Amino acid sequence: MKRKYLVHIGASLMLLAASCTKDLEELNRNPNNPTSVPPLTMLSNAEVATATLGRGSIRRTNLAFDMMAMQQLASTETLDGGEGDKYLKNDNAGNLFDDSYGLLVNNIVQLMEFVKNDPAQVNLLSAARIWKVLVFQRLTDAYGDVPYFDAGKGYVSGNFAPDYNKQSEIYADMLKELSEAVAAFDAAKNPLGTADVVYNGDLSKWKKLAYSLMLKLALRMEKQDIAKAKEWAAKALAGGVMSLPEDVCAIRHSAERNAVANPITYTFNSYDLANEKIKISKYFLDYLTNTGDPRRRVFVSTVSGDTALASQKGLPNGLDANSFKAAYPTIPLKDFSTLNTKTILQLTAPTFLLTPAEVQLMQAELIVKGWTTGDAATMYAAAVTNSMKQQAMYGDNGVISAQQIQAYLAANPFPATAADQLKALGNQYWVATFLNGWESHANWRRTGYPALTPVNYPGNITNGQIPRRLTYMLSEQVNNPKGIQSAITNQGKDEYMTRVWWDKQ
Amino acid sequence: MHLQHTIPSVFRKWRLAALTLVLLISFSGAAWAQKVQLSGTVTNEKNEPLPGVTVTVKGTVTGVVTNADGKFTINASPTATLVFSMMGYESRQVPVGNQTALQVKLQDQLTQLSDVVVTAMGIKKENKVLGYAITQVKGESFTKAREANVMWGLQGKVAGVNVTKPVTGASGSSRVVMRGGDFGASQPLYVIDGIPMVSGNKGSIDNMYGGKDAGDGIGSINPDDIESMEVLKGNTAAALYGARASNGVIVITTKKGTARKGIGVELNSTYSIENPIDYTAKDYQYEYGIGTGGKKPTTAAEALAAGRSSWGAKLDGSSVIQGDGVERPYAARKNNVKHFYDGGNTFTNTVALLGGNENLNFRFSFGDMNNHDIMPNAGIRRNNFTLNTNAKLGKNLTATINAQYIREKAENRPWLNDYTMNAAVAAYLMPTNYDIRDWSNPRKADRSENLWTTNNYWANPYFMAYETPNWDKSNRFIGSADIKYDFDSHFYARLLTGTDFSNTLGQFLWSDGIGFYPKGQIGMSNAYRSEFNAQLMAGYNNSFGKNWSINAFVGGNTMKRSSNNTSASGDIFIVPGFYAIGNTTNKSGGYNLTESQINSVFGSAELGFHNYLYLTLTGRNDWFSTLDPKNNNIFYPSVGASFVISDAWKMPEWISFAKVRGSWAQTGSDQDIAAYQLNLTYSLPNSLNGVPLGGIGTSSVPNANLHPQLTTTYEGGLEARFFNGRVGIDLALYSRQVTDAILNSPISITSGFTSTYMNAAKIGNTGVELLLTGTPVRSKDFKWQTSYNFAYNKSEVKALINGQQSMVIAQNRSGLWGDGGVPSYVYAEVGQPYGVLYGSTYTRDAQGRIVYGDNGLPIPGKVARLGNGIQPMVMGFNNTFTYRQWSLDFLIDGKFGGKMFSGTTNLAWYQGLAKETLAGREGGIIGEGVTADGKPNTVKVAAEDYYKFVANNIAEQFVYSSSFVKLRQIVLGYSLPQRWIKGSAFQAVNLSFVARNLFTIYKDVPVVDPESGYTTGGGQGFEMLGMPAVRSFGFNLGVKF
Repeated sequence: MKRKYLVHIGASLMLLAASCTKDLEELNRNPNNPTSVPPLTMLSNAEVATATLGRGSIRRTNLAFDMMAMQQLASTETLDGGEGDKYLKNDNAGNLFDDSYGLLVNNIVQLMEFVKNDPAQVNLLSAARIWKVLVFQRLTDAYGDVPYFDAGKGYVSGNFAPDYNKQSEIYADMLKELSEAVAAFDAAKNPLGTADVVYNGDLSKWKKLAYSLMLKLALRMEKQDIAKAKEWAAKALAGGVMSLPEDVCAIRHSAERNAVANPITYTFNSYDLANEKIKISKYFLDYLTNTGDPRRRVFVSTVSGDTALASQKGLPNGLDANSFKAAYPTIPLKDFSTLNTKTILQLTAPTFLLTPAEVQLMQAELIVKGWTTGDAATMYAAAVTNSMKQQAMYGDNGVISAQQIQAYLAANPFPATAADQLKALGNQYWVATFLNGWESHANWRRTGYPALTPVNYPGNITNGQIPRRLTYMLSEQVNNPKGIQSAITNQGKDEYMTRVWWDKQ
Repeated sequence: MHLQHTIPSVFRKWRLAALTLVLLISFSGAAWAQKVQLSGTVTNEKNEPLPGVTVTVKGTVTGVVTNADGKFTINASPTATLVFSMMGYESRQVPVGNQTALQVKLQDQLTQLSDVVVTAMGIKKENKVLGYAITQVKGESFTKAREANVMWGLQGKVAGVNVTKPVTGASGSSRVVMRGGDFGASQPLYVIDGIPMVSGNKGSIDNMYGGKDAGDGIGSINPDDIESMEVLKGNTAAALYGARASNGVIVITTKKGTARKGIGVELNSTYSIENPIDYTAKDYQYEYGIGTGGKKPTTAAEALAAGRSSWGAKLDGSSVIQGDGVERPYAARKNNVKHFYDGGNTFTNTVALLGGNENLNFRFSFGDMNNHDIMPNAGIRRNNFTLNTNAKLGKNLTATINAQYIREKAENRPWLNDYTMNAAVAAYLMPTNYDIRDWSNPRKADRSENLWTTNNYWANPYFMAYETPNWDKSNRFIGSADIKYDFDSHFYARLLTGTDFSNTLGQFLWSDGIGFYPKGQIGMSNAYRSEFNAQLMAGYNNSFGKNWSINAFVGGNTMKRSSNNTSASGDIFIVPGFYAIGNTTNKSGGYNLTESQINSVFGSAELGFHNYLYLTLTGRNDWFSTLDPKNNNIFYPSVGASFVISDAWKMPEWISFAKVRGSWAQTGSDQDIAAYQLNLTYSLPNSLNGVPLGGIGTSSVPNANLHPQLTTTYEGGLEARFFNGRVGIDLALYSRQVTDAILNSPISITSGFTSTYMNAAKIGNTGVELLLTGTPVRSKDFKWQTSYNFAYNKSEVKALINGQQSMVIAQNRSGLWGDGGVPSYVYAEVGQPYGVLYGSTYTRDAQGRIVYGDNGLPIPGKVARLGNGIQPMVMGFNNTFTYRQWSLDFLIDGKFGGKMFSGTTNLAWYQGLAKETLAGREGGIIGEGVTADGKPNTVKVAAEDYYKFVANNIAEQFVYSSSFVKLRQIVLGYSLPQRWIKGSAFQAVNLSFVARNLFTIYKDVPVVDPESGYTTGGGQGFEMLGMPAVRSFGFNLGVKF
C-alpha cells in the first residue's frame, strides 16, 4: 500500500521534471511582439523616424540649438532651450547622435541584413542604402567622426562599442554606396509600393534623391579634395538630380498619433513653446521683411496666428530674461512672433528632408564656380520658385501665387558678381532650409552665408563665436571610451568650436 | 523498475528496525519504571498561561502539548527529566523527582539564538542540527514601534542583514541585502508559511530623472500577523528554495490559532506622529538673501530669474520683491523643510480572533493602517484580512490553510530626486529669505503653476501636493494550503500550493497648467501580477539503533509567474481641470503580458549521529523558462555539518551549549531576468496614413547563450551559550562567490542598442557576522537583556563583461542640463567593492595641496574613485530592561565605512545656501592651495563665482562619510499586573510609549540625514532632494481578551 504511494509520488516528480523543457520553451515565446516584421515596414519606419526622431532631438538640437545658432529662431532661455542662441553648454547636444543610432541606424542595418541576400529584394536594399546615407550625412555633418562601418551591429555581429570612423572615410563610402545603390535598382524586381511613404515606390525619384545627395556630399568636401568633389558632382548631375516640386523628399505627417505627427508641432504643443520659449529671430524676420519674401507669412505669425506684417516682432538673439526686460520694458515676450501656428505648426505639416530648391541652389553655385555649365540665374529663379511653391504643402495658408514669386524675383534678382551671387545663393539656402536647422548650419559652415553676427552672452563656451559642431552623447565617454578617444585624437576636442573634416580650413 | 524493487525493501528493513525501536520505547516505561502521572501548568513570566508548549520526556519521543489553559498531563518516571519547549521561549528542563503537580514558568527567549527555528519548506527544526546560520526575529519586535513597511523595522536587528529605508515616504519600498548580494536586485526571497511571495519592487526611483517609489510586496504584510521571521542568510537552506533564494531567504511564519476555551480576542493599536528632521536651519546661511552679484532683485522677473540664487545682498529686513510680485521683508526665513513637511501621523489597529480545539483551530485578523504622510495630501491606507486555519482531519491528515486579502490605497506617492514634480526642491532650495508657505497658492490666476523660478521644471511644492492627484489602489490575495499525510510515523507526503496575486489600478497625472507641460497628460494602468507555486514532496524520518537518525525528503516544485498590464493615456487636456483620458486630444493605449516559469526537483537528507553530529545534504535542479532550452537548467548541491560539542562531551557546568557548524552550498539563478530576452523582437506600434511602421522592439541586445549563474558559498560558524543561557555567541564566517553572473551592462548606443545581458561577470563577498547576547542582570523583579550584532562584508567585483574594467551602474541627477551641480556616478569596478562612488576631484600637487589656475579657481582633476557607496559594516545594539510590570527597550544601530555624494549639499553650494558659502562674500575669496608652479595661490575670486565653480566642477567636495550611529528605537512599556485584571475579561493589557529614529548620535553629512538615499536600486551612495528623514513618537496598546 505504502509502496504504491511512493511509486505515485516518485512518478509525479519524474513527470514534473520531464515535462519541463518543451513547455518552458513554449512559454518563453513573446506574445506581445513578433520576432519578425515584413522588411518593407522597416523602410516605412526609417523614413518616418528620420523626420520625427525624438522630442529631445527636435527641441534641443534642431530648434534650440542649430536654428538658434543660425539666428532663424531666438529665445530668452539660458538652459534647456536657449543654448544655441547663446552658445552655452548643452549636455543634450548629443540627442541627435543618440536618436540617429537608436531609432534609425539600428533598423536600417537590420533591414539590410534581412534583404541583402535576396535578389528579389534588391530595390528595398538599394532604398535602404540610400536612406542610410541620408541619415549619416545629417549625423556626420553635425558631429564629424562617428561610428559608421560597424554601427548598428550590436545584434548582427555583437559589436557593442564600434570604432569611430574618420569623416573622410565615411564620405568616401557614402558616395560609393549611393552610386552602387542607384545602379542596382531593377524595376523587374519586387517593388517598394505604398510602403515607401516618401515616393510611393517610384524608383526614378529614388534615383534623383540618390544623385541629389551625391551632389550635396560632393560640395561639402570641396575644401578637402576639390578634384574628387568635382568628379562626384559631375557624376551626380549626369545621373539626374531633383528639379520638380514632386521630387521633394518629405514626410507627410498625420494628426492621428503623436508618434507620426509633425515633430516640431508636437514638441511645441508638448512644451508650450510658442508663448515664451521659442520666437522668430529678429535677424531672420528682418531679412524676410527687407527682401519682401512671401515666405514670411508662411513661416512667421503671432502666437494667435496673425501674419500681418505690422503685428510681427522678431526677438534679437542673445537675450535672457533680464536683458530682455531691459531692452523691452513694456512689451511682453508673448507678443513676439513665433512659428506660424496656421501653417508650420499643424500636426499634419510635412517635414522636408531634401528639397529641389536646395539642389538647384547647389547647382547654381556649381555654375558660378565653373564646375559645370548652364545659366546660374535661371537655376536661381527655379530654386526660389520651387521653394515658394513647396510652401503649398502646408495647406491653403502656405500657397504663394506665381505673381508673388515673380514680384519677389524682380525685387531680388540674381546679382552680377560672383561674390554677390554666392552670397545670394547662401542666403536663399538659409531661407529654403528653414526648419531643417542641421542643414542650414552645415551649409553656413561651408559657405559662410548668411553672414551672421555672433552674440557674446556671458558664460558662453565658444568665446563669442558661432558653434561649428554639436558635441557627442555624454554616455559614449563611459560606454565607448576607446572609440570616442580616437575621434578626439583625430578630430580635436569634443567641443562646439572643433571643426569637422570638411570644415577644416 | 529497479527502484521500485530495491528501495521499498530497504525501507521495509528500516521500518522493522524503527518499529522495534518505537515498541521498545513505548513499553520501556511500563517495563522499567513505575510511571507517575504528572500534571501541571505552564505560564510565561507574567504568569499568563501558555498554550501549545511541547512537553517531552528527555531522551524519548513521548510528548504532549499544553492546552488552552497551559495545562498538561504526562506519564513519566521520577528519574526522568521533562523538557518544556516553545518558540520564542527559553526551553526548560525539569527533573520529575517525586512531584506530581508542576508549575513551570517559561522565560522569554533571552537571546536570538533559538532552539527551534523554521527552516526551508516551513519545517521546524532544532537549531542544533543546522549547518548554517539562521536568525530568528520575533514578530513582536515589529508591532510596537512600527514602521509602515515591516522590513524597515528589521534594521539593526540581525547581524549581516543590511536594511535600507529610502527617504520615499511611508508608501516606499525597502532594500534588504544579505552578505553583499550580486549584480542584480540582490533582495532576498520572502516566504510566507512555505509559499514564496511576490516581493519585488513595484517601481523605484530613477537615479537621473527621479520618480516615485511604488512600494514592494513585502511592505504590505501586517506585522501583527507575524509570529516569527527567520532569516536564512546562507545558501544551504536556500538550496531548497531554488534560484530566487540565491540572495538569502526570509521565512515568515504567521500567527496561528491555538486550542483554547472560547474565542480569544487580541487588539493592538498604535498611534504615532511623524516629524521631519530639518537640518537646514543649522546648516544653511541666513545672512544673505535672494539675488545675484550681491544685489537684491528689483522686479518680479529678476526675482524669478534669481529664484535659484541666494547670492544677493546682506539680509536687512527691507521690503524686497519676490518672484510672485509681492514685496516681503528681506529677512531670514528658516525651516522651510519643517514648515512644508510637518504633520504626518499613522494610526494602526489590528484585531485578531483566535480559537479552536485540538483538531481545528483558527486565527483571523483584521488590520487597518491609516497613514498621513509628512508630504501634504499624501498617504497610504492598508487593510489586511488574514485567516489561518489548522485542521487535523482524521488520524493521518493535517492541513494548514492560510489566506490573506490586502487592500491598499496610496495617494500622491512623493516624487523625488529630479526637480520635476519634486516638492523637496522648494523645501530645500528656496532662497534664504523665502518662506515656503508664501507659495501655498499652487496656481496663478491663469491656472498655470505658481512657479518660483524661471525654470519651469522646478516644482511649486503645493502644486505637486494638491493639484496633481496621483494614486494607486491594489487588491492582493495571498493564499496557501499545506496538506500533509502521514502514512505512518516515518513516511509522509506533503502538498504545498499557494498563490500571490495582485491587481493594481493607478493614475498618473500632469494636470493642466503644470509648468513643464502646460497642456497636461494623464495615464492609467491596470496591472495584474501573480505567482503560483505547487510543490509535492515525500519525506521519511526515522532513527536506527541508539545512534543514527535520518530525516529526508524529495520533492518537485513548479512556479509560474505572470504579469499583465493594460495601460491607457491621454495627452493635452481639452477642458481644464477635468482629469480623464476622455478629455484629452491624443489618446493611446497598450497591453503587455509576461509569463515565466521555473520547474524544479529537489531533495534533502539529514543524517544524525548520537544527537550531536548532523550532516545535511541537499540537491536541486531548476529549469528556467527564461533561458534557451539548451542551457536552461542547472543542478546545485549543498552539504552542511553540525557538531554539538556540548552534547558530545561532558562540558563544564558553565557551558550550556556549544556547537560548530560548516557548510558548502551552491545556488543557480537566472537573476530573475525578464521573459523573452532571447530573440530580437520587433514592434509595429504606429502607422502613418495606414502604412504600418515596423522596427526593432527592444533596446537590449538579446543573448540566446545566457545560462544560469552560480553562487558558491562556504560558511563556518560557532554557536555557544554559557551560564545557563545568560551569555551567548553566534559567529559566522562566510565566503560567497558568484560566477557567470548575469549582468545587464550598458553598451554604446552606436551599436544600435543601449544594453545587453551577458554571463561574464564575477563578484565575491566574504565576511563575518557576530551576535553576542547576554542577560547581565536577572533578579526576581529586574532583568536586563542585551544583544549586540555586528557584520562586516567585503565585496569585490572580479570581472565585468567584454574585459571591461568598470561600468556605470548609476548616475546622479546633479550637473545635468546646465541646472547646476556636478555629476557623480556609481561604478562597478574590477578589484573594488560593488558600487563605488566616482566623481571629479580637485587637482592636487605631490603634497596633496589643491592646485589653482591663474583665474584663482581650483583646476578640476580627473573623475576618480571617491569611496564605497555601500557601508560594509553594520551593527546593532539592543537592550531590554524589565522591572516588574515595566519594560524599556532601546536599539542603537549604525553603519560604517561608506561614502555618500550629497546632491542636496551640492546644489546648496551652487545656490549660495550652504553655510560654507559665507566665507569671502564680502571682498572675495582666495582658495587655499597653490598654483601650478607650487607657489601659494593669491588670486582673489568673487565668492559667487568661486562656490558656483566648485559646485559645478568638483564632485569630491560633496562626498561625505555615510557612517552614522542612531538611537533607532525606544519602547517603554507597562503591563497591567495579572492580579488587577484577574476575573475581568482581559487576559493581558500592555501600554507602551514608542519612538523611532529618535536621535542621530553621529553623522558627517550636512543638510540631510545620512540615510537619505532615494532608491533601493543601484544608486546606493547617492542623495539628492529626497524627503527629509522622519522621527516618530506614539503610543501602543496591546490587549488580549
